[in-house]
Amino acid sequence: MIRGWLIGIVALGISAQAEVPKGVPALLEAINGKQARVFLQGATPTTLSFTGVSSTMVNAIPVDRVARLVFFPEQDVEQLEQEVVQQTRRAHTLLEVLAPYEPYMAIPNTMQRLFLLQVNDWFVAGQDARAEAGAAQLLACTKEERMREHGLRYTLLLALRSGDLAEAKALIDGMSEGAMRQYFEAEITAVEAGAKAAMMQVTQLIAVHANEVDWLAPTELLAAQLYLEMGMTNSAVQTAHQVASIYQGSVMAMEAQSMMKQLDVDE
Amino acid sequence: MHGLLILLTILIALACKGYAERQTPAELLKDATLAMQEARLDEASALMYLYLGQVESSKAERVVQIAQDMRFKLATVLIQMKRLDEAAFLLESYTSLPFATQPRQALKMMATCFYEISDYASTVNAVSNALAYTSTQAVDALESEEMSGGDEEAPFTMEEKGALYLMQAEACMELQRWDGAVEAFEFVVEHAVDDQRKGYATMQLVNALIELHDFERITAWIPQLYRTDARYDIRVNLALLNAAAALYQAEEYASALPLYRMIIPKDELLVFQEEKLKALRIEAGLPPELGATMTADEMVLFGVSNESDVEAQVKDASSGLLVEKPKALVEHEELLNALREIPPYEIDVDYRMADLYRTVERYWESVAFFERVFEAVPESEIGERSAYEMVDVLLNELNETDEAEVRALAYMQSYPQGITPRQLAYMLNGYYQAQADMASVKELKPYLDDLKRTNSSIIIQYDAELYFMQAVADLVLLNYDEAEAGFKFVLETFPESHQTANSLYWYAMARLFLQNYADAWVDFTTYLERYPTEAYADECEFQVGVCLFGLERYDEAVERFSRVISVYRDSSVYPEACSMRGDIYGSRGWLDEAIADYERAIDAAKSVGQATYPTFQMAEVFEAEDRYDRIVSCVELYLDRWGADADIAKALFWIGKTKIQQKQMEEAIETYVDAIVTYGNDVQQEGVDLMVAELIKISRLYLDVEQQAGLKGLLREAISVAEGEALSLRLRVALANLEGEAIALGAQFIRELASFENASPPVLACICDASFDRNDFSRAEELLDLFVRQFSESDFMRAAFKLRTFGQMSVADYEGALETLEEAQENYGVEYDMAWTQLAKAEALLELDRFDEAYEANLGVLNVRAWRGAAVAQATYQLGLVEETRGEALKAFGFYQRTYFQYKGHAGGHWAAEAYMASARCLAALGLENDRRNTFRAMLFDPFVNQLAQADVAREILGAAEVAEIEAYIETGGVTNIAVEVDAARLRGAL
Repeated sequence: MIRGWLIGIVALGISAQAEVPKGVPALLEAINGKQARVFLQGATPTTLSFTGVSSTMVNAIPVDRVARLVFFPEQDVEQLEQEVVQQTRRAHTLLEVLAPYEPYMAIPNTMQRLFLLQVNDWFVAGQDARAEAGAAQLLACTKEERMREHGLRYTLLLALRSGDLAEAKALIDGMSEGAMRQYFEAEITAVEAGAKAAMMQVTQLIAVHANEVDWLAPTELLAAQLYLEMGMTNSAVQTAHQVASIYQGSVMAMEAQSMMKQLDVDE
Repeated sequence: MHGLLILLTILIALACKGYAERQTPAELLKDATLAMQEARLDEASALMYLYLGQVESSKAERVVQIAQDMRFKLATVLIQMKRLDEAAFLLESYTSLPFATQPRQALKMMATCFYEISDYASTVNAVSNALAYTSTQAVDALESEEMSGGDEEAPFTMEEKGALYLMQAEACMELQRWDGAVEAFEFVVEHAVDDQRKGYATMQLVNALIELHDFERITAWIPQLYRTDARYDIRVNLALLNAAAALYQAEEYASALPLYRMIIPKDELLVFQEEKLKALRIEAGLPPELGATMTADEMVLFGVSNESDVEAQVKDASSGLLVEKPKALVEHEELLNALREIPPYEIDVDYRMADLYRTVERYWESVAFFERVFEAVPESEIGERSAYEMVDVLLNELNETDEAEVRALAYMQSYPQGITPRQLAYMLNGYYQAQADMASVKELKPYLDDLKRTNSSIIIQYDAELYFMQAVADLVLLNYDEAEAGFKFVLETFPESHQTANSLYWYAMARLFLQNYADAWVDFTTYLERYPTEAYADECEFQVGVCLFGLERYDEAVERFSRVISVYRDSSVYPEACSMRGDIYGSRGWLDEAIADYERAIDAAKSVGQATYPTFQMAEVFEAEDRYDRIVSCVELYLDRWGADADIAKALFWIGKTKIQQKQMEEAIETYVDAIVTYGNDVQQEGVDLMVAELIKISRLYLDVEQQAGLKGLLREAISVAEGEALSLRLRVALANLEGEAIALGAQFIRELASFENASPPVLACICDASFDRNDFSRAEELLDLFVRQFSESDFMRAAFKLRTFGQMSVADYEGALETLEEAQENYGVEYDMAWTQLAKAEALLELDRFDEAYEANLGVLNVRAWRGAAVAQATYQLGLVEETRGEALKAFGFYQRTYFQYKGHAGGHWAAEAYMASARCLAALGLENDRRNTFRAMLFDPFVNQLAQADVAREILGAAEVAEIEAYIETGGVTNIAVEVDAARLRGAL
């Protein structure tokens, strides 16, 4: 009895001295299939730092060995995504939600889609500096090809927006032929040679790569923008409407909806 | 069916009666179980049937339980033996009897059996029952100790549910129960893990919704479908073709488009699926290719280690080998065969997409797809159609004229046969005509000429139309000769075509414009004979009158116009006929009748053009009668009716003229200057030019120095604030004319103006006069062309005619000069300042050695009262030239003498001086030297000429001493009576 009591006292003492762990709670899934609950401390392009649940010792793991990070935000992430996509919530309200997770966006994680929506919002709203930073993080997602491609797209579009054609061209230098490259070339042509020349490229892309759905989406969005530049508002609206419809839920659809809103057109 | 099964069972039981009588149920059970374990399925099933037959009437709980178990097992055996209908019947019994321990599985198996035997109605029921199997039976089973058979059967997994729903959905599709199919497929889509299945289910869902015409819901599903990889599924691809076509037919274009886009080209799909077939065959233990054996590599690749594992039992019709094919493999082969048998569809799909893109106003995409089709199959019907549509979109939707032209012309050149090149030409024609670009219409002619003719009626119709349009273009471009030839070509090449009547009319009109009145009259009359009720009948009647007018058959013209006025009261030619008849009456001095006709024309005018002419003709008549109050009222009426469309400047000109007559100079000047400033920037405003001319006249005739200065001040101020070049130039010309600096200004314009775009007629005339003054004929032709094309009615064109004529004369183009002169005289006749035309004509004729004509031409000057004065002096002199040139020195001398005797007071004595010199020349030719010298002497005594340059020649010939003597005599006030008379008798004596 006395022994039990002593153990209890010691336990109480230990628990009284225990600190609340700092860092971002996450479930770390490694590439070897193992999982661990951790508190993330930070990330560099090559290394992820974390502490264990019951230890304050900071460990580091090469980013390459991390398969995915699962985060546990208080909010319902799927709900948030839906609200942003349906435009019942502005993406800028996600700042607070995403803030703790931003340093880890280059690593595959469960908040990436929300982050993508945020970056898209920055881009559409003209907050170029933020968009550029966000795009850089997406571009660093070596394990998530789609995220990387989004990052590439935003980086190129921002370069074109700032008039830096050289940078835009450098981004596609060495890229293999295919729908992605042709899409980027069309974006560059739009700035360099004008809407009509770009439209020629866009229509060829649509005709030849009809099943490359991932790149048809931004291509058709570009088509809508080109129509607008050429003063063909009806055609622009029709195209934007189709982008919003066919690619529902995607960032391209959101950009199309934004365009229609600017044109004061009902969706 | 069930009856048959019962009968079968009874028969089996009867057949085995003998055996049954020897075995107990327990033995049967044991033997059946053993047979099943040893896969002797026939025997096992027979034994099981026997057992069930023996125990079916037993009510003992244990027996019933075992019987149920046996039923379930028998069902599984029957399923293995593909006796599915028996299995289904048995399972039905199983599920309806107590002690069924695996009811869900039984229901699932039953549903599967029904589906496999294509009993879709039963399938739907079975699946519904399976999915609905829940509480009642399970709870009852739990609560009842009797009924509970141990552990409750596990509920369906999500995968099982998915499979059941899929089966139900497919069955509903077969039964055309579309609502049921939609509901079931929705479940599958929502819960399917496999992307292919999800995509397939979505496709089928869309198909069901198409059948329901629920296009709103389709719109929601298509995006999901579009983003799956289901397109590589043959079934989906085949379904896409139909679904997209159905949506296209229903005009649901926005939904149809992504479906068409998903369709994989046949060859690509075949390659993909043939690889998949290989994999399926290997998986089934078969060689990858029909009839082939597996290589060692393929065995390793596809994981088959022992060829003897392949089961062989069913003869394959294709290869002759005995193979066993799994259902999935059979299905896949059937789908591949179906795909191979479909004719190539890519072209049709591309065409549909092009059409869809056009419908949804994505025109550039539309062009790209039409171009794809055309390039793939240029000579097919669909290719031809695509070529046409592509040009149509470029031209009429995108306004990309250059792009459209390049493609259309390239097509016409490469494919000159058939209807499509003609349709393209027709389309371009229509476009150019709408733009009033007739020059481009003409550029199509070489392509038309190269098109291959056929006897096809539709081709002939197109050709007739296209050539008709060519002739019309010539007409609009004022190329009347070409237009005449063009319409004639249509009449001769395409007789009895739909354009024959019209061609005849316009053929006649072209001849009319060429002033070939006689031939035009014949053609108009022919039209009326052949087509008395056709569209241009009224026009022809009128134009016949115009031809008669042109032929100076005025009585007949009046008769014809009267007929038109009487018969065609509502026609557009009515006011024109009234005006024309009014003109004839006016020329005859029947002013009241003329005015009545003009008033009729004004009342009936359907356009401002039809009202303008008679209004101002009437004003001219009123002016001739000094009825200025009537001028004001008719002009005001005209302005009231036609408002902003009226020729306001001309109207103001007449109002101002009235004010001048009423001696209201300041008001007139103010009216004119205001109107010039308001309308003067439009080069076509003829009224403004009239006002400029009138201002100059007012200034010269009516204004004192102070008033003139005031007017000049107004003009200077207007020039300083003028915004348009046309107005500024007009005002500068007006001012220069007032200041007598017009020639200098003209010279300045020649240096200043890079183009004459903003030069109105007075400005052009100023330039012409300045050029004439400098003997600069370099732009004479250009200036005359400009007048003819843009200001053919302008009075100021006479300056251009003069410049052009003398330009031609300066390069000895006398024939050309005669043509120009003829045109000038047609325009201006014998107006007071046009004497030069007749004189120049005479000069040109003389240069061409057409002596008689030259003679008559010079005489013509003498007959015109308005040309009395310097022109007569020159003409008389030129008569002498004519005679002299043809060697009639005596006659020439006569004319020369008359010139210096009668006309020395004109032209500053110039012609008299020339005549003196010419006389002397003639006398020398006649050998009358003394008379020659006397002529020179008379010249020096003649005060009209003795200070002119020609007199110096006389001085030189006479010599200083004699000249001094003459001059001294003149100074003393002496006059001479020297007269040289030469006649034929004297001349004979001299010779």
